[in-house]
Formats: sequence, C-alpha cells, structure tokens
Amino acid sequence: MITLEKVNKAFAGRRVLVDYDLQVNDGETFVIIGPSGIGKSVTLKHIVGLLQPDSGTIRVDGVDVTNANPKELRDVRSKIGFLFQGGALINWMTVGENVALPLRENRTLRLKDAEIEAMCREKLALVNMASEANKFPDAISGGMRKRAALARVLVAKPGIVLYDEPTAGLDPRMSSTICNLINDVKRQFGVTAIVVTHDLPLAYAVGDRMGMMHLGKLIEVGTPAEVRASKNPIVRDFLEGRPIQSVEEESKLGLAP
Amino acid sequence: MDILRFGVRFISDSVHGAGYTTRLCFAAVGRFHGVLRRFKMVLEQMYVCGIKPLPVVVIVGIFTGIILAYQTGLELDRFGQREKIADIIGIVLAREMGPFITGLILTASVGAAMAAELGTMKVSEEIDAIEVMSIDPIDLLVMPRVLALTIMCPLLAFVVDIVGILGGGFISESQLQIPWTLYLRQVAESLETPAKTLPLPKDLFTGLLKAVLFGLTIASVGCSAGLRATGGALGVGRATRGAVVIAFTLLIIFGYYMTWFFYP
Repeated sequence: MITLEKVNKAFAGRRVLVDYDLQVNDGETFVIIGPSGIGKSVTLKHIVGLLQPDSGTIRVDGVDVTNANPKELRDVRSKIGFLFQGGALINWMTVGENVALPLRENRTLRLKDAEIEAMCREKLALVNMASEANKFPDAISGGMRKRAALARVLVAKPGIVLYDEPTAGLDPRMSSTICNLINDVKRQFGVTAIVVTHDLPLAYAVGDRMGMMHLGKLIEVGTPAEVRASKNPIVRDFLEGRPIQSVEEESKLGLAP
Repeated sequence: MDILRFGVRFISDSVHGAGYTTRLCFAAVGRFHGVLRRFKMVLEQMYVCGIKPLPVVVIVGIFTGIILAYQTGLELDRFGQREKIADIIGIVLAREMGPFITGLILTASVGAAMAAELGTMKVSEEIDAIEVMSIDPIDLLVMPRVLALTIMCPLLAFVVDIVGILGGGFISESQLQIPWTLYLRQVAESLETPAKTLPLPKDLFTGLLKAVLFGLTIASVGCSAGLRATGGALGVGRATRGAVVIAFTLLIIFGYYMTWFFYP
C-alpha cells in the first residue's frame, strides 16, 4: 500500500504539492490525471525518494520513505519499478544490457549470465522487443524505448510499478499497445500501480480509481465512471478539453509560475 | 541589492559545489576496491582518457619542448650559456610543464566530456533511473572515470616529458648547434637527484605525482558538474563550461602548492 499524508513541496517559492493526500491499495491501479506541469511526476518522485517533501509523510508498505535510512530506502526501491517519461534507458548500453542491468547490479541475486539472459529474453518478448536486444536506445523509436524500459522495470519483479506519462509523445496505436501492456502487467503480475497521465483514454482503460490534480492536491477521486460523471467545473473543463483563455487563467490553474 | 544577492548566491553555490565535489572525490576513491567488478568499464575509460587524446598530447608536447628551447635558447645565447638549455628543458618539463600541459589537454577534452556525458544522463533522468534501481551511480559511473584518469594522467604527462625533451633537442641541435648526445646527457644529469620514496629522479617523481592529483581533480570536477546539471541542454552546457573553468583554476592552484611543498 502507498500512502501520502499532508505532503507539501515547493520549488523556488511555487507550491507544487499542498497538503497532498493519496492512498493506493494493494493490487490497485490508480491514475493521476491533470494538466502538464501541475506536479504529477513530482508525486511519483517523492514516492521513490528522489525528492524529499518539505513536510508530510509518505509510506510504502508501511515504511516511512521520508525518514528512511539508506538501507530502508534501498529495500523500498527494490519493490518499485519506475517507468520514466522518456524511458531513461542508459544511452551507451544496448537494449539487452539495459534490461539486464538491475539483475547484474543486484549482488544478492547471484545469477549466472545464462539465467540473466533468459530472464531478459522473456521480458523483452513480453513487450515484443526480443529482436531489438542488440540495438542502442538512439537507434529505436520512442515507443520501443518505452517498451524496453518497461521490460527493464519488469525484470526486477517489482510489486509496485509507477508509470510517468507512459503514452506521452506516442501515436494512437502505440498508445494502445502501451495501454494493453499496462493491463497485461497487472493481470500477469498483480502489481500495484500508479499511472500519471493526461491521456484520458489511457486513464479510463487502465485505472481502477483515478484522481484529478489541481493546485497541489487531488480534487476529485473515484472510479473512472465517477470521475467522468463529476460535476466539478475544473474537472469538467479538463475532461472536455476546454481551451485555456488567458495567462491569468493559466496562473489561476497553477500552471504558470 | 541585486549585486549583493548575486554575490551571496555565487558564494553559496561555490561552497556547495566545492563540498559536493570533495565528497564525490572521496566517495569515488573509497570505491576503488571494487575495481575488479568494473574492470571492463575502467579499461574503456582508460582508452577514452589515455589513448584517444594521445595524438594531441604528443603534438602539443613536442611543440612545448620546441617553443621552450627556442625562446630560452635565444636568451641563454645572449649570455653565452646556450649549453644550459638541456638542464632547463629537462627540469621545467619534468617538474611543471609536462603535468600542466597534460592537465590542460585532459581538462578541455576528457573533463569536459565527462561533465557533458553525465550532465546529459542527469537531465534525461538516466541517473534517476539508476538510483531507483538501487544502483549506486558513483560506483557505476564516477569511480571508473576517476580511477582511469588518475592512472592515465601521469602516463600521458610522462609522454609529454619525453616528446617535449625530444622537441627541445631538435631545436638545440638545429638552431643552437648542441649535439644530440651532449643534449641528452645533460638532460639526464639535470634529473639526477633521486626521489626519497621511489627509484625515480625527484623532479620526474614530483611531476608525475602532480599529474596523479591533476587526474583525480579533473575527473572529480567533471563528474561533479555533470551530476549537478539541471535544466536541459542549457544546463549541460553550463555544467561543461563550469567543469573546464573550475578544473583549470584548481590545476594552477594545486600545481603551485605542490611545488611549494616539494621545493620549499
């Protein structure tokens, strides 16, 4: 279970998270929607300890990430897979080497090369990337990079997967592929997941529950059907894609510094 | 007020940067014992740091010796001391110019590249991904670079010493009419004082020790600048420029203090 209680975070005086509360239950896929720049990715980075909140508590399976010592933080991170927006594959390693990296670097596993190769092949096949294992990240498309990054996430067998804008910059068919993969991963491995996105078809397709972020907190939380039926004007504006009329409005929405 | 705020921020950033770089340097050195696990990576970095810059190091080294011999030779000739040229070339190259020229070349090429590589990894979230996978980025990325440059910098400084002495010999023979045999014998005699700790001439030993410190400094500053990069391509550019400027400055300062320490 992942819980955030009264989390606050500001960057250069701009409050990004304001008394932010979130609870994600085991086995659940929770989708955070909201406009770009509102602090959705910042939420994910707090959960893995890449960012420290100014105040508040973040717990992952009962461990307080905000006060964790290095060993506790390592243990928490070993349970979490993080799919970064651009994939974040190591550029000077091949796709295969990238996928093998978490296994090779984990000294407690003591896996043989053949075992590592077999596990990587399996996960690359799962994301339909088995034939691309020897290519470098800059020689494959954006969609392939995200799929390869997902294989790297899955090879470490995480119990929790955090998806940061998994379909950003992808064409509709590749977005559908990623969407199916997120559902497949949930079905096959029973992971708890948080998906951050402003891609509404993806949010409706993968979310058990979803919440909309506005001015540093979740203003509407519920099942996809409940959120779609929301009467909150800010939620309605976002879901219906009403254009932002002015810089003042953008500022009011917390999108301009 | 703006100037005051800028000054305070500059000092605060400098102190923070110096602290981070020092900690990173010690952390990397503390991980040298894991060299066998990263052996392939260290070898790759040694190739990047030591073999790739070799042509430019040789060319610059030869011309450093040539210029040094030419300028000094002309002045010595005015005082009828032209045969002293070999002593000056040998001592100056071994003590100062060899390591310093090598340091400058490696700062501009290898140190800048380290800052740019790690900076790009930082802004494209690759470093974050490494951390989230519970992999120590210092062990994976910094230690191999610091170790490789610490080994290769003195080796390249030795190459500069040798080719610089040969360049100086060429000018001595062609312009100052000092035969090669006499020149080389006098270079050897000028470097006769032995070091206390190693069976090497003291001047050569202190020069190479300087190069070890320079290698450590260039790699630590380059990696530190890269790991602290923020703000996309502009941030990577800023980190690279900062790495070169800081490393140049530190080489000069460290060079002076080492000279002061060994030749009080």
